Amino acid sequence: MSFILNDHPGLKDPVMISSWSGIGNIGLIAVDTLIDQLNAEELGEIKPWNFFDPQKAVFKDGLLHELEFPKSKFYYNRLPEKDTVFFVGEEQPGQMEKMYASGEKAYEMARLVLDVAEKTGIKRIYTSGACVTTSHHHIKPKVVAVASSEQLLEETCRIAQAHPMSKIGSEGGEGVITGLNGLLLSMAKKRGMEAACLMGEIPDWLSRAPFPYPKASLSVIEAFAKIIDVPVSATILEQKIEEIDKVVEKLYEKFPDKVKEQYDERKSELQPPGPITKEEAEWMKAHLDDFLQNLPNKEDGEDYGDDQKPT
Amino acid sequence: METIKSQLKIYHQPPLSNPILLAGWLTQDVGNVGAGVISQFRETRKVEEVAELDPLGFFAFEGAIFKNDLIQIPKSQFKASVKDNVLTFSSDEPMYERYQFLKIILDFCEEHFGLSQLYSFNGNPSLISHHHPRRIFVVFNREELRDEFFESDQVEHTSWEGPPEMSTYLLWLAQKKGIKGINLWVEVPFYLAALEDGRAIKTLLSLMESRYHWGVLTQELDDRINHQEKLLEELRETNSEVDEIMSKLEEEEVLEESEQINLSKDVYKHLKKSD
Repeated sequence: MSFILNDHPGLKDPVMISSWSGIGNIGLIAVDTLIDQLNAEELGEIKPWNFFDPQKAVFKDGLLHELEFPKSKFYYNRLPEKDTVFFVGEEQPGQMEKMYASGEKAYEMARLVLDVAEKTGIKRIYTSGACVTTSHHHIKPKVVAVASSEQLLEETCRIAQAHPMSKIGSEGGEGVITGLNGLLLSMAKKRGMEAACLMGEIPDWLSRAPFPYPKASLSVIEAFAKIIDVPVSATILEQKIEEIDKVVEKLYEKFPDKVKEQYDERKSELQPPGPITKEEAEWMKAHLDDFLQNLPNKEDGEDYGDDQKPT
Repeated sequence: METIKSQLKIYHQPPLSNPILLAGWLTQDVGNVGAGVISQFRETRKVEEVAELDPLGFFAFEGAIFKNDLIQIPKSQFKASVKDNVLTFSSDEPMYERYQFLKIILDFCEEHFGLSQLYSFNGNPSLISHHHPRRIFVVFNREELRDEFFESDQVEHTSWEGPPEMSTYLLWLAQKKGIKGINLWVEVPFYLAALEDGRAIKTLLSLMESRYHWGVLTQELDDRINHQEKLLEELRETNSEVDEIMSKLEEEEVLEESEQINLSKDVYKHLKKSD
């Protein structure tokens, strides 16, 4: 298992911003959009075949032209304030296969990402993902942070205007960041690197929806933009957010009045959102999960406006 | 080599020199085509066991799978015909670690025998009647193979994109390793997809025969085809709905989805009963 680097750009004190697919594809869309906006250059990739099965074959007039695998790619950008390496993983290894969804492949993938980080001189790594909370979809999603040290947590929250996990939840800042967006942080810390995760808030009931949540991705982009000191276009993700908002609003309109009333209480400033508790998860199951069973789909003429895979 | 040693039981190393490999998959085998071609070759040529792949790590062992009352275990076997300088491989499709599985196959053939080329055989469900001549779609991994099977009424070099089957994955890995490879996809009437389509098997074998002259086309295969076609005629005579749908197919009319399902069910039931 290995990686290919096309370039040795000789970056100056770079940081890494990374993300894999996950809930609402919040981190993945955020990092992908940043790469696009900043015209980041391709640096290399992790060879996919030991991690994933191919998804698509292309034959042209009989000749096997291409076999496509989910991509795990590195990009870089020389920025005025901070050189940056980006990593995006279209899929997490082992997600689909029950028996072999062991940590071994995830560990190997994280190891390779960190090998590339070390090779390019990175000492600080950011990952990004989703933070499922009892928030409301009408409220701008917050960005929640955890970090490998108090100093980095303070710095990240101050610069990125993020909230420490302990300040928004009732669990005292305890919890688990599942999958590779979490594992990479632990392994980076073990190697002596600084590591932090910026998570975009997503309302609990939408965390199970089969479409992305770009509104939270935008919050994450704004946070990262402050960290690497780049401007963010005012119209970034605008269209995607509008399209998904329409779908979410349609679902919201179908809530029974009583459920809607209770859900709308979340908009109150007196009810600060936080990670969901067991009771809240049960409430969601009893009241909101059914709506997701009856989601419109593309065959019905509904367009979610995003070609990202649902997770 | 370490992986090969630990995952392969090698029984015998026959004196093959740059052989070709014939491969067929036993699971999701439309018309039983992959298994049918390999077993017809093995039965008609003097083949010997060469090696077997250890299924552990590639298949789920969560209980016993049975078929026709018999317990099934995944099998992945190499056999060879020294006289023809041919290796054959038949296997259930691995559920896990597919890349490693395919790599072991090609590494073994390459390192032990200097594999020169591979062929794999597959069925492709089609909206045709069983009387219709079967077309073969040919795909390959090197431009120089384009002329091996010229395009004709029967053979088509296809342009296609979609989710890859195991044979395509194998073809890609062979390409990556610099091994020439061809996949042959033969049309199978959709209502024979879950059964054996002897005519499709014969179509593929005839194409291979035109190139290698092994002598694998037997009266026994023809008898099997004739017997199946007789049973299908019998079904048409006794079941007017089947007759009507088959007539529509022969007239190349479009079938409703329900007609396709009903025909498949009736044919399956009738042919299985007569097994």
